[in-house]
Amino acid sequence: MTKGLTGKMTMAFLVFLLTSCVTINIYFPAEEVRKAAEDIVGDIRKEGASQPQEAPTGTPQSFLPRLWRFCSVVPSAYAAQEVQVSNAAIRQLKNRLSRLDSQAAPYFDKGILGEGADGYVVLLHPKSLSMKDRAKVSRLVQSINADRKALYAEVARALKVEKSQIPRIAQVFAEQWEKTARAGWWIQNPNGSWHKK
Amino acid sequence: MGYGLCRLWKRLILGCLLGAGLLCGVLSHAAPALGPVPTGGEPALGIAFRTARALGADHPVPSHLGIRIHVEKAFYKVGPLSLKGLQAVLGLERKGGVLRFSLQEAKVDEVAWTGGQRPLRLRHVELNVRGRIEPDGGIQIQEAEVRLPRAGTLWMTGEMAPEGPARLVLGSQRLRLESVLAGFPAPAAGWGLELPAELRATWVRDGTGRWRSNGRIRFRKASFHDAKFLHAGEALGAQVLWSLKGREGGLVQGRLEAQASAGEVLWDRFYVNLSSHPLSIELKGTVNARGKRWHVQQAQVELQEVASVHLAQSSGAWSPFSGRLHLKIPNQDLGPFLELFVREPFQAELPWLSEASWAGRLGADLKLWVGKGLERAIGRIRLQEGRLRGPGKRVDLSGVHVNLPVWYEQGGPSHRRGRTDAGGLVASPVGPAAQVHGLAPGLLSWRAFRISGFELGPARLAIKALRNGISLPEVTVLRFANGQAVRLGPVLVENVWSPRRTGRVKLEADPWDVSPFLPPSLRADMRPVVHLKDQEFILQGERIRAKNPFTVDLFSGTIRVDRLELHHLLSPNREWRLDASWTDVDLEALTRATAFGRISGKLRGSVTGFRFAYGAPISFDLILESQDDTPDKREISVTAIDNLAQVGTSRSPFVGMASLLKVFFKDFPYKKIGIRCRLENDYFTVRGLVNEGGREYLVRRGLLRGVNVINQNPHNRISWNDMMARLSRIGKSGKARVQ
Repeated sequence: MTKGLTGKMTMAFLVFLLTSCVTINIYFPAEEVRKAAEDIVGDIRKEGASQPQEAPTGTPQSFLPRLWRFCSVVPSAYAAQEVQVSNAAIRQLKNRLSRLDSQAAPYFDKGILGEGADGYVVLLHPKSLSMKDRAKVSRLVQSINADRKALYAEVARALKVEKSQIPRIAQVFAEQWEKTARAGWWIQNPNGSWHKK
Repeated sequence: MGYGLCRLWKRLILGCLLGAGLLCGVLSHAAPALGPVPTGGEPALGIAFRTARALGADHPVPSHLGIRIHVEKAFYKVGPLSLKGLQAVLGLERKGGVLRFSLQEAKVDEVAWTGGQRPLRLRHVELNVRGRIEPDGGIQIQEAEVRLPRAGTLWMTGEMAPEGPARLVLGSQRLRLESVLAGFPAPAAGWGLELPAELRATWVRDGTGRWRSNGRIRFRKASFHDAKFLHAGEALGAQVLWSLKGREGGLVQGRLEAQASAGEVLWDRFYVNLSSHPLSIELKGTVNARGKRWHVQQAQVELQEVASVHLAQSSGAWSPFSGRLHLKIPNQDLGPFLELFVREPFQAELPWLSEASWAGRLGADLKLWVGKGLERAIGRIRLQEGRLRGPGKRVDLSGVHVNLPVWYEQGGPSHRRGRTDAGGLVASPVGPAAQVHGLAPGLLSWRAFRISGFELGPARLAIKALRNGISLPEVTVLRFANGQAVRLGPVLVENVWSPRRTGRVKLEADPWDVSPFLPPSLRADMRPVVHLKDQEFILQGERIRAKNPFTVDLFSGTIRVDRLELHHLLSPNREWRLDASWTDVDLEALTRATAFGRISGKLRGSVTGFRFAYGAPISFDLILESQDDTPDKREISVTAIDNLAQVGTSRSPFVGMASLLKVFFKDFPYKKIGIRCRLENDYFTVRGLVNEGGREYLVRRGLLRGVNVINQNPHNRISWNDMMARLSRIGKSGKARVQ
C-alpha cells in the first residue's frame, strides 16, 4: 500500500517536473519586420526600376575625412525614405541592392535567376548562359546575396532581434521579394518547389 | 581549381590505360585450352557450341581445315578478367601450318575487371577479330574492332609471341571516354562529363618482360560540370601525350604532357578562357604498382601569361592518396595572376579593387604534406619590387620586398604565446619542426609607403613563422617624412590562414600628429595629436580593436577614446565603433573650424555607441556640455544660436531677425550649453541638458543678458532627411546662413 503510494507520488512529481519546464520565448517582432521588409524591398525595387544599368560606384573615403564631412559640412542627401527601420548602413545597402537588382532583372526575366524562399537569389538555369556570362551572373548573385545577408543582419540589429533570428527575418523578406517580383519571375515555394509569378 | 582539374586528368588517364589494359588482357589470353566446364582453377572457359564438324583432341588434324563454330553462352575467366555470355561465330582455317582465326559478330554480355578497388564492368561489348596463329605459336591480330556501347569503337592491331615480345596498337577516332570512366566514382553527385576523344596508343613488350607504351589522346569539345553548372568546363580542346616504360608488376617510369588550349573553365567565381591562357602540364615520374607508391621527379603546370608552378622530387602513396610535394613558384609577374584571380572575381563585392593597381614579382618554395587535404606546409613566399596603389592614390606602397616564412599545420594547435613579466607581448621561439626544415626568419621591407597624407620612409621588419602564425618579434621604428616616428612591434598573428585569425599589434606613438589624415582644407584649423603609449591592437576574425584607452589632443582639449573598433576591414560594409569622452575642448577653436558660428568657452562631453559605416553615422548618443569650472569667457554668436536652434528645435529664437540683430550684437554671454543628441534608426532626438523651472534649455543665458534656447518640444524626433536638410542649410557655401 505504502509502496504504491510512494510510486504514485514519484510519478506525479516527475509529471510535475516535466510539465513545469521553462518555456523560453525568443523575441521576434514579426509585424515590425514585415513592415520593414515591405518598405525596404519596396524602395529597392522602386529605385531599381529607375536605376541605370551600371551606376557609378563613387570614390570611397577613409574614416576621418568622411566623419568630418558629416559633422562639419553637408552630409550626403538620400532619397526620401521614412521607414521605421533605417540607418546609414541600411540606406547604403538599399542603394547597392537597387543597383544590383537592376543588373539582375534581365536574368530574372529570362528565368535564369529566381527568388529563393530563404530570402536569397538563386541561380536557376546557369546552363543557358555562356561561360563568361555565367561567371558574371554568378558573381552578381554572390554580391546580391552578400548584401542581402548584411541587410538582414542590420535589420535584426536595428530591431534588437537576436542574430539567431536572422533566417526568420530573411524569410519575411522573401515574401516581399516575391510580392515585388515582376510577372514571369520564378519564385520558390516554402516546400522548395518553384512557380512562375 | 587545380585540384579538381588534376583529379579529372587523373581519371582520364587511368580510365584510358585501364580500358587499353582490359582489351590487351582479352586478346593476350585469347587462346585458352578447350575443355569441359571446369569446377575451379584458372583460366576457365565454358562453351556451348554447335558446328558442322567438331574439333576434338583425339581427331587427327588435316593439313587444310576450315571450320566455323557458333559459340553461344560461353564464359571466360582468367585472373581478374572475365567474360560472360559470349556469343560469336568463330572461324578457323588451317593452311600450311598457319591457323587463321576470326571472331565475327561476337557479342559479350559483360566484360568485368575485378583487379581494382572497384570492379569495372562493360556490358554488351561487340567484337570483330581477325588474326593468325603462326606455327611457332605467335599470334598476330591483323584487325580487331571492339564496339563498346555508348563509348564508341576501338580498333587494334598487334602481334605477340608466347612468352616473347609483343606489340599492340590501339586507337579510336571518336571514343566517348566518359562511358569508359563510368565505372569510376564521380567527383560528386550530379557531375556530368562529356569526353569525346581521339586515341592512339602503342604498347610494346620485349622478351625479358619489359614494356613501353606511348600514345596520345586528343579531346575536342569536351566538357564537365557539377549539378549547378557553376563548376564547369565547356568546348575544351586538349591533348595528352604519354611515354611510359616498365616491367610487368614492377616500376613504371614515364613522362606525360598535357595541354588544354581551347574552351573555357568556370570554377565558382573564377573564370579562365583557355584560348587566351592555355594550360599546360608536364610531368615526369614513376609509379610503383606493387607498392602503390608514386614519385614525381619533375612537374610543371603553367597557365600561360598568368602563372607557373613547378613540382620537384615529390612522392607518396596513391591509395589512399597522400604525399609530400615540393612546390616551387619561379619568380613571375604578379599582375596577371591578381587580375584573373582577385580583381575580376571579387570587384563586384569589393569596388575598391577596380581602382587598385599592383605590380611585383612573386615566387615561392613550399613543402606540402597532402593527405586528407593539405595537412602541412612549410616554406617561404617571396615578393620582389612589389607595388600597391589604392583607390584615389590614398595608399601607395612601393619597393616592397617580402620574404615570408610559412608554417601551416592542419588542425594543429596554434603556438603558445608568452608574456613578459611586465605584461608585454613576446613571440614564442620557433618550434623544433620549423628549425628542422631550416625555416629561417624572413623580412618585410619597403622603400616608400604613403597612406592618406602620411609618408613613411623606408623600413625593414623581421618576420618569423610560427605554427599557423607569423610574428614580427622586434620593435621597428617607422619614420615619417615630417620627422615623426611610431614604434611598431612586436606583432603576432595566430591562425593566420583561417578566417578565425587572431592577433596583437603593438604600436607606440607618443605623440603622433595625425593631421595628415585630414583633408588639406582642414589641416590649418585642426591638429589632432594621438598619444599611443604601450598600445596594442587586437585582431579577432574580421574585427580590430584598441586594447587600451588612449587620448587625443584636439582644440586644446583631451579626448579619451575608451573603445575603438574596426569591423570588416576589407569589406564594403566596414564599420567603425567608438566610445569616447572629452574635456577642455576649446569651443572657439572648434567652431572656427566649422561653419557653425562662433562659441567661446570650454566643452566636455561624450559619445557612446557610435557606429560609422558607408560614410555616415548609424547610431550614437552624444552629450555636449559647456564647462563652468573654467575661468574662460563664455559667449555665443548670433549665428551659432540661430544654427543651434535650427538643428535642435527648428525654430530660431530671433524669429527671422537674426540678420538685424547681428548688426547690433555679435555675441551673447551664456551660462550653460547642454545638449544631448541621439541617433537611432534614422531618427535624431535633441534634448537640452539644462532643466530649470520645468523648461529644457539647450543654451541658458547669462545673468544679465543673453539668449535662451529652449527646447519647445522635448519629445520631438527629427528624421534623417530633415536633419540633413537643416545641416545642409548651415553648411552651404561653407558659411552659415541666418534666416
